[in-house]
Amino acid sequence: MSALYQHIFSVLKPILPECILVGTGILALLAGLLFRKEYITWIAWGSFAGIMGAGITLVLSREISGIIFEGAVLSDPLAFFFRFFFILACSVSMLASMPYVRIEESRRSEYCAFLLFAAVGMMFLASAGDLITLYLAGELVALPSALLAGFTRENKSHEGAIKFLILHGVMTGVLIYGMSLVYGIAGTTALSGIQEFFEAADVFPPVMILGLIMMIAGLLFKIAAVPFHLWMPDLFEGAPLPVTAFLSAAFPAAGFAILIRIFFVMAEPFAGFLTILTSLIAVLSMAVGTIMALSQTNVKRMFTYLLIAHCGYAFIGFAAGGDDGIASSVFSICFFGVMHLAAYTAVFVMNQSGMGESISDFEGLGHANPVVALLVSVYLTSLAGVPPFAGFMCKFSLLQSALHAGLGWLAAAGLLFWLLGAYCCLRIVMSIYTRESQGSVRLPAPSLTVALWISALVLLAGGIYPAPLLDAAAASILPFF
Amino acid sequence: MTSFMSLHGLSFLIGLPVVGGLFLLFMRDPDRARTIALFFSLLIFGFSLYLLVSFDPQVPGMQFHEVAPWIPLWNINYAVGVDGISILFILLTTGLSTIALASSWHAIRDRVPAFLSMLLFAEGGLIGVFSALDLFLFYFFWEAMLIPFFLLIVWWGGVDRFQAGIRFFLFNLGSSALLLVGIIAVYGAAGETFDMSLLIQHSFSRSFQLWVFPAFFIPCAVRMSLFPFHAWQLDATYQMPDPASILSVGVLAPLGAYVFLRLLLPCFPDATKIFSTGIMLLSLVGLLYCGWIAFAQTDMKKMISFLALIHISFITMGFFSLTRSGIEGAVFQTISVGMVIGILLFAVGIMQNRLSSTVIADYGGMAGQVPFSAAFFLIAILSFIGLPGTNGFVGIFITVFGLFERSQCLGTICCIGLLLAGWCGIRFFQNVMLGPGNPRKIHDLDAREISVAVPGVLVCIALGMYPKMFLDLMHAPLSLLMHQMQMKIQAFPGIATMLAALVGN
Repeated sequence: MSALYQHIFSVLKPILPECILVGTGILALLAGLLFRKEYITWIAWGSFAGIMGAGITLVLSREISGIIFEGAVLSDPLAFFFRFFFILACSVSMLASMPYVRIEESRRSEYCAFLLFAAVGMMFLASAGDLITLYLAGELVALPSALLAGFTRENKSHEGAIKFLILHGVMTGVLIYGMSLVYGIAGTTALSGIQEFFEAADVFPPVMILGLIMMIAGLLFKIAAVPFHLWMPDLFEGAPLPVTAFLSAAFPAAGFAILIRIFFVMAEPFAGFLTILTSLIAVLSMAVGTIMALSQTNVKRMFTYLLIAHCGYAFIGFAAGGDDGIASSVFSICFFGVMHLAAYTAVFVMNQSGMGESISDFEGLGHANPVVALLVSVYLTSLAGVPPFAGFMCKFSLLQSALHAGLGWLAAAGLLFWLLGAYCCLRIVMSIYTRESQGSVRLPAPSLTVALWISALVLLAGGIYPAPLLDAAAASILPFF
Repeated sequence: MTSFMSLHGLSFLIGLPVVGGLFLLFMRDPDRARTIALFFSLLIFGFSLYLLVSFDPQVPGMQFHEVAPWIPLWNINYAVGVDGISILFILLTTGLSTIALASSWHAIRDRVPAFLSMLLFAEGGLIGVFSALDLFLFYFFWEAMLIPFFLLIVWWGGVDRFQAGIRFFLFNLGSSALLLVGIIAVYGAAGETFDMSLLIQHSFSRSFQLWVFPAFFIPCAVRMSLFPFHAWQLDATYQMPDPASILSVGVLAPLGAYVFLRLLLPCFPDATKIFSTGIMLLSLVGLLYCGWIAFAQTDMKKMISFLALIHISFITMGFFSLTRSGIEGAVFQTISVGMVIGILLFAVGIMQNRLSSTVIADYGGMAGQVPFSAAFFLIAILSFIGLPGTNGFVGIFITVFGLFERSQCLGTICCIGLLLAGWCGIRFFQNVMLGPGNPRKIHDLDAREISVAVPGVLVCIALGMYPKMFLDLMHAPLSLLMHQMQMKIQAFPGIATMLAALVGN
């Protein structure tokens, strides 16, 4: 028997962090059944401890790489990079959630469990080596996300969640249909197998092309790239703010992680097509995201449209291609995630103090709480891409890769929309001291303060000394070249 | 200690204001914050003086040089160092920051610690720009300093601060985006390096120079608010509180001039030569235009902005005359104008403090009540219009000499424009200080104001009497620059060659 256990353990060792998260999630569910509602804070802190444990396990096991379940799950540098990012995002939003779970109506342990399950789904998505894993992990992300988004008993919350579920159902159908076509021609669902097929094949039947296009459409939906972006503003507006914060950081990153793998599989015969496709998506997302963001009055929706635009910027790196371009995409998408996570958390803080969600509500923030105002200014300045914050490094890396690849027009478009997006952000910074505030914004919990400061320091560190993260991003995609 | 200072002195100088700013950010008590800011400011100024004293003007090349890898992936280093010219710009920055701080003592009552920390952040960014030897680091500081200035406008500005803030932001961030493209293009063309000393040695092809030159020139022109890119500066100066505008007008304009000297002339000599006539004509138009408009100004701050614009055009003409004396005079004039503008705005701040107005018509006939203020103001104005014996005279004289060397026609018209500016300045003084006695009672300079005014005025006169102490420092770097330009510059091309270069490869 012990040999069997040892075998199981050696198999599961590379995905031990995921196992810990799933275990913590199940324990949280059970604890919710066993204990009274007042103990929810303990459950939440327990979940946080589980995330920390998973993070430590992940860092300790970073040397263990290989193929698990016959190639269904990969444990390579790319997977490690994104898994680490998801754990980080999950832990910060868990900290931010502490005041939320104490609210009467949301005192449910399912909240913690779903957050953990969504994170596990994202981690598997980043390490998927097989179409089946990709699909399953995608579902594991989508369902808890929809449940979390609909957690608040408000119409908007339910509306966003339902819209997302329906659209997601349709697009998952498209994705699976595409997968089945690809499988039908290539004869395997393993990504490595499909890659070998592409490298060997001379002609591609139209069905194969159709399948690939459907698959890519299904994946672009997960990133909310234009024209598949319609679900995102509604979902993020309705969802509880800590959930929005987590999803805004993790959703695009998860989508990019799997897109990188799929694009490398397709790179051999379709490189030219992919360059055109990604540049097109980049321009569309930047244009639609920025222009829509300019006209928003609700700050949550404005950030969501900016996020769509930011995903567009990250596609610039894809379009540029090469190790430089993809590395800058990976680097940028993570920092865009941190910025949005921080921005939504700040809105949550204001919300907790009874301030609204419209942009004009920022006008009294400076007098209501100078510290929060300062931190918000840091996040927004970073979003505007001004040094010394991480947003500038993202801007520089993407621009540099685009110009290096000779995509001058894309760089010019990127800079133009960046300027408009920066105007969106700095407009809020400007208005922070416009009027005396009615009330005062207090920080409802120390955990929120920690979450806000961590985000600000990460953004500052990423702007002043980005070398370690850039190197990590470059190393994560090295095996593909 | 000495070795530490020679190895890390500049980093220390950049770090001090940043540390001070961070420290102030978390303070509550305004009075204590003022004291601490003054302490930091004097420390920084004293330290920059120490660097000046230990600077050896005989040694060509960079001193206090420090290099450390920063972002190896893109071959970016943290590289700082100063030569005889940049140390003067640093000294100007630290000196004006101290004046700005003194000016804010009573003028700022709202969120004092945050205001002072923004001033210090801006100072740190400016010192960083003047000492950066890596183009990426340079750009990092160049753009980072926008944030404190932006916040100084929109958080502490006047009634129309949002409009001014948006203009400031659009002009400066927009043009910086152009500069970003420029530096990435240079980085690619020079073989993936941001090292300025390598970039200066590299010979860029003429067509490349012609394309990249505007990407560098326009952001500088915006930053120094050269005509026709000056719209943001007028709004910003008017809306900013006085202390911030001292730093903004006094140092941002020299910053653009510094980039001309450090990057444009040595890196793109061919393009500079081709564009120089056009830029000189543009500056001449700007000079006459601003001189004309200045007559119609009714507000002291706007008047000083226009007087500054006149000199900015003049300085640009000096740089693009491409003669040794033109450039030398322009560098000297850049620093002396920065200094005098700072002193003039300080004087305006003093008067605004007394009467809560910057409208010229509210003053007049003040000289009898406040003889010390009047004398202080007069010396600053005279230095501004270039009276012999003041620092303004030296800069204007050497520059005009270079202008005539380039073209007698341009030089003559420029002198007429300067006469206009001088007339305007004198009229300004007359309207504010002279005339029938003013019924309003105000008190003269207090001890704090005298302690700023007297050293400032003394430096102006000292530089006018003995300009050699600055000119000696500038000698070695300027010789190097002229040598580099002569080495690299090819035969002056006609229009046909220029078009061929633009179209061809």
